[in-house]
Amino acid sequence: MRRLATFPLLVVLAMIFAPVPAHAMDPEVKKLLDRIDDMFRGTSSKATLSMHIKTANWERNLKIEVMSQGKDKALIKILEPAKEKGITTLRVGDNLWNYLPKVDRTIKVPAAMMSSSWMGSHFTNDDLVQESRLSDDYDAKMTSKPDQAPKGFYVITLIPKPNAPVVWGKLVAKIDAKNDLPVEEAYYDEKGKLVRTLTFSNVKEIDGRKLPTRMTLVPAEHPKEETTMTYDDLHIGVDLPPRTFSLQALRQ
Amino acid sequence: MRALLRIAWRNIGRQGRRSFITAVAMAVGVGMSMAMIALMDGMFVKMFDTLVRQQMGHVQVHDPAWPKQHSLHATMDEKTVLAKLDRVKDAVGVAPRAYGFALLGLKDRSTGARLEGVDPVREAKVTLVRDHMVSGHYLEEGSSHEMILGKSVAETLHAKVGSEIVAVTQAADGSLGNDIYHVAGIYQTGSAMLDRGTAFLTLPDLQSLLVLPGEIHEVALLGPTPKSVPALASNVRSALAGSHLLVQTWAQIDPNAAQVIQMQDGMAWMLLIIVFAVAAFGVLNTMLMSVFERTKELGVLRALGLSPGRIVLMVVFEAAMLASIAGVAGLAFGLLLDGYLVHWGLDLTTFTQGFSWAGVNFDPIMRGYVEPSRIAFVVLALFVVAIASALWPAVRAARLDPVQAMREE
Repeated sequence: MRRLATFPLLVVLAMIFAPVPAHAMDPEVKKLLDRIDDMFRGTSSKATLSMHIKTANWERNLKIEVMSQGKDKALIKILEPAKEKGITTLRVGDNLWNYLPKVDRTIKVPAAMMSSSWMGSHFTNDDLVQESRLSDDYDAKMTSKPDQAPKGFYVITLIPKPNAPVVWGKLVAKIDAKNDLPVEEAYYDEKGKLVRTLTFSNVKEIDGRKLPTRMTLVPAEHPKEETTMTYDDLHIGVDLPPRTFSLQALRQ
Repeated sequence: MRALLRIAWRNIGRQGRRSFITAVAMAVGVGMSMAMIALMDGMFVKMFDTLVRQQMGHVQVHDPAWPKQHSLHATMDEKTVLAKLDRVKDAVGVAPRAYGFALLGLKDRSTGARLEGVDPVREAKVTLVRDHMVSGHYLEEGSSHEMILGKSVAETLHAKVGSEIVAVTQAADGSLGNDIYHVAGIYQTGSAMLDRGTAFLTLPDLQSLLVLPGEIHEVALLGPTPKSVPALASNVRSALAGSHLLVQTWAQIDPNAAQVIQMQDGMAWMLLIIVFAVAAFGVLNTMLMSVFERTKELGVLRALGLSPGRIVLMVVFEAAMLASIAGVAGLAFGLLLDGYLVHWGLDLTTFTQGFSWAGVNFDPIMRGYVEPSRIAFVVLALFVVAIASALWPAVRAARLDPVQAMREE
């Protein structure tokens, strides 16, 4: 499996809009997906995000810094709140480590916990390392064009291929026809039940690219809970020394 | 009547060998049933003990939201609840607990585990984890930043006594709780949940890791005997009257285990019925034979004026006397077997290194448990079976036509 996403928190996006082989795909669908996929491409990136997590029992805000390089390296560092400042997640390939400054230890996230929440958000550890590629793993089909209801949007339905290593049963992407940017992504399980909805909003120009800078994830089982991530800052194609993504660098 | 008894006694003596064999068969039946039941009850007691003394206790108190999801937020106030529960009559132990789930790490190894925060002194009065330490020692009162690990958890982490374990968890306020604990000991209880997936630490340590100051998820109570459970539950309910807290007995918390134990009880009864069905046919056979053989003699007795009712009584007396002798002998034999099973147990080491049934690990040595009411049942059942199986031959004897009967050769 190849990986296309450049910065891990947008892996979800890249997953959906990864380019698909021409032979299986409607050229119009392919063009749409390519357009969006290319938008998030780059060899390396550095971003600052605000994260707002709301659950039935608590609500909190985090500020995080995300650095990525190549296909499979990423570093996510908590900047705020003070109590958790410096907690860092390192991703190299399929592996995830968390560095805990309070105890000065690094702990590897075991395979059994990949589907657990990342830092209490509604995103999972798996979302950070997901390498699933739509072109390989899904059959994509345009189910609604902008002139049909919902007017002004493309709707693309993605069904995983029989042996694809994918946890979802179906994905439905809604794309704004005005700028070809995604608006909503719905994740269904294998029984066809909605599991979570990711919405994209607040389109802004950052580092020369037009991007939806806010993503909100709502779990279907708890519609009152949500995790919102907002890009405060994003630089694509920055120079990062290779040792940024090493266990040794985590401790600094 | 006394004459009738004497005749019955003589009748038994006249067929000495047959009576002896029947009595021995009955006695062996009684003795073996007693031994079998002692073994099954031993298993039952062991299973119940494992269930209750490993983790559950007899009665538990929770926030009503706890059973559904075991949510971190379904808490009770430690001080208020304990103040009420410490006054409960007949509670041998009252143990407060908090639970969490954490990622445990040691060097480059890590595993997910359930964390259980306990008060070491109170917990030891309810559960027996303290007695199952493989190395190191159990948590100590007032110790801080210590942890004891289940054997499999320790193996996964390659942890030894003294190792430094990092725990990372989602705290109740959403923050990422993390801390370091020293391994004080490693335990093996036989319960898969505890050995493979649990780490114990002191209640204050876990409360601080989870940011749940003064909050607990569970109180487990233990009564003096298994039979005291309903009384204990009702005492706990009245102690907590007016609060919204949920009080459950072990059977309500784990209906599956309760069913297994009930099934086990049913099996003991079935075994008894089978053994006694066999014994009944033996007695029936003996009594029928003796009636057939004595057709002529019984005809004479009838002709002499012995009423049909008395004939029935005579045959029943014979059976009852036989049962008395067999009962006493069987009881003696059974008590001997029971004594052996309770004291030495049945050693199955040649067949197995121990086995697991219904989630409970058993030693290769099975120990018996004697429940007096079961012995009383066995002996009583012997009488009922003997008399019931004598009734048909007795009635048959009473219905003989004296003239016809006397002509028989």
